[in-house]
Amino acid sequence: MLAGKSALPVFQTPKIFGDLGFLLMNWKRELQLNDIEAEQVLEFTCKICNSVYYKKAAEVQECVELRFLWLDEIESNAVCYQRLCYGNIRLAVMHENGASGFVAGLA
Amino acid sequence: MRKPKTIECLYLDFDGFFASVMQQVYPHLRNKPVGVVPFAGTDRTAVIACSKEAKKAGCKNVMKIKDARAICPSLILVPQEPDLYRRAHNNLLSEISAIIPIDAIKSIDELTCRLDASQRKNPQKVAEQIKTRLKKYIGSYITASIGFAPNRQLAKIAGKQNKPDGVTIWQPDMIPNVLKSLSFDDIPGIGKRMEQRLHRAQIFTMEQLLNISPKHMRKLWHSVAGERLWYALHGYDIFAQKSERGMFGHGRVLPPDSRTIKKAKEIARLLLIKAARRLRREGYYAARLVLWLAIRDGSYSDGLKMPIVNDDKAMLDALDMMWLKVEEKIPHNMIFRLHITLCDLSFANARQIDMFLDDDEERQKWEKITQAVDSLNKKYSKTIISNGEWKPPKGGNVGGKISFTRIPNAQDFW
Repeated sequence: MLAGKSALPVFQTPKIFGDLGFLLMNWKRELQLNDIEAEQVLEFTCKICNSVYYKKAAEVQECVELRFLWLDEIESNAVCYQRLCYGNIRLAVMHENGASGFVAGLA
Repeated sequence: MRKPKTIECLYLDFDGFFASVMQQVYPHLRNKPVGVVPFAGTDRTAVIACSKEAKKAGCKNVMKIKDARAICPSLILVPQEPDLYRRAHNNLLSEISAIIPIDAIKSIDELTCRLDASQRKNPQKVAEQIKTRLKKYIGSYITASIGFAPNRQLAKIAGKQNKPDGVTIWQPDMIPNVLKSLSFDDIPGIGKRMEQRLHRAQIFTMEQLLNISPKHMRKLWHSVAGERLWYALHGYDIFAQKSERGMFGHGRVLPPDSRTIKKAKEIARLLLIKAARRLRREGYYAARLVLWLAIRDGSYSDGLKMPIVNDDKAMLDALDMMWLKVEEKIPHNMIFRLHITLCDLSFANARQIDMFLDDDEERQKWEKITQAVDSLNKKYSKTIISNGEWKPPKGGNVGGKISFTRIPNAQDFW
């Protein structure tokens, strides 16, 4: 289980300003966990030790308190569970199911 | 077959993807000619991707390092970072998905989308939205060329007309006239050999090709692919269907100090374990192992039928048996490149159990051991347990090769 500050009763205030004071806005700020298709895979990478964890969106959506969080909130609330690491996490959504090659040059 | 009356497809192709990602991530490479190479420390390989600046200087993708340096002496060579490209790909796709749903991912740097009714009316706006978003949230060094057309194939060709960072819109009434001025090189599906075949049939220009009938094109291609391409070039709604997986494999050019039979076997084992891990992750079993070697006098290949298995032990045993033959048949040869392929696949729930082996206990035991090993490696995000020695070769990135149909996963790099 991806240990998370999310398991705590109080959430951190979402971080919407970066270290340099710029507004942080990207796809993670526009999608809630519930918007992700259940079969899509989320990739959690530790920024400290580079450990990578994969979870299907459905598994994370089972946690009721996370369902309506924006993905950047999920990201900032999650921590690496490797012993003595507890590093911050980088979240990505995998798109591997959409790949389809060329057939005799036809796109 | 349906012939769209409006623009329906968008095809997006990132410009010099690998090199652009490097420039975005490493500021010292920005606005400089950059060439991405498979690994550092040798000039006996090729530049696999060039930055826009290097392309302007005359460098091309898949050009020998010596040739590229001769054309552009200030070329900065950087070793590839497949994991970085993979992460960039995921991020870029997530940003694009926020504007338009992605219909198909054609490769790590190419994707296609279907436009809805409002987007068809103003494709330029969609392109601007995508470009602005990428610039704002990813960075200005990763740019994309976008083509709009009635079908995917035409949108892809359109996108190539205005590189880098361009937008090309081909309305249905421009088809096929807009193709007449192009050369065969511009058409995906017409390679060098096909071009020679067309020349033999007295077809030298796109105009001549577009004037022949679909059946004639099928005859020239010796397959239905020719007829499909005809319909695509004439604006019909036709595209490549998703193909089923037929094999899992890995290949590698061996570093100079690993070209003996003994050392090559170590790399073959490693590649086989990596392929087997992918096979298991996707829920398959394999019934055949194929080995291909590039040797000094040509090539060597061999195949071995296995019971339908997915555990490391069975596959490594099969490799051991095949390697005995290699030692016997080409005892003193140098191996330059090797490929390992697992084929004759079946899904775990559709597996035909061997009548004589009766799904033996030994196999079940090794399958459980392999599952345990996989779950421990997954838990610790690296190869902490393996069946036998685990010595990744120089250059790293074993199993992380980026191909057209496969964008690697972080697990492929463990």
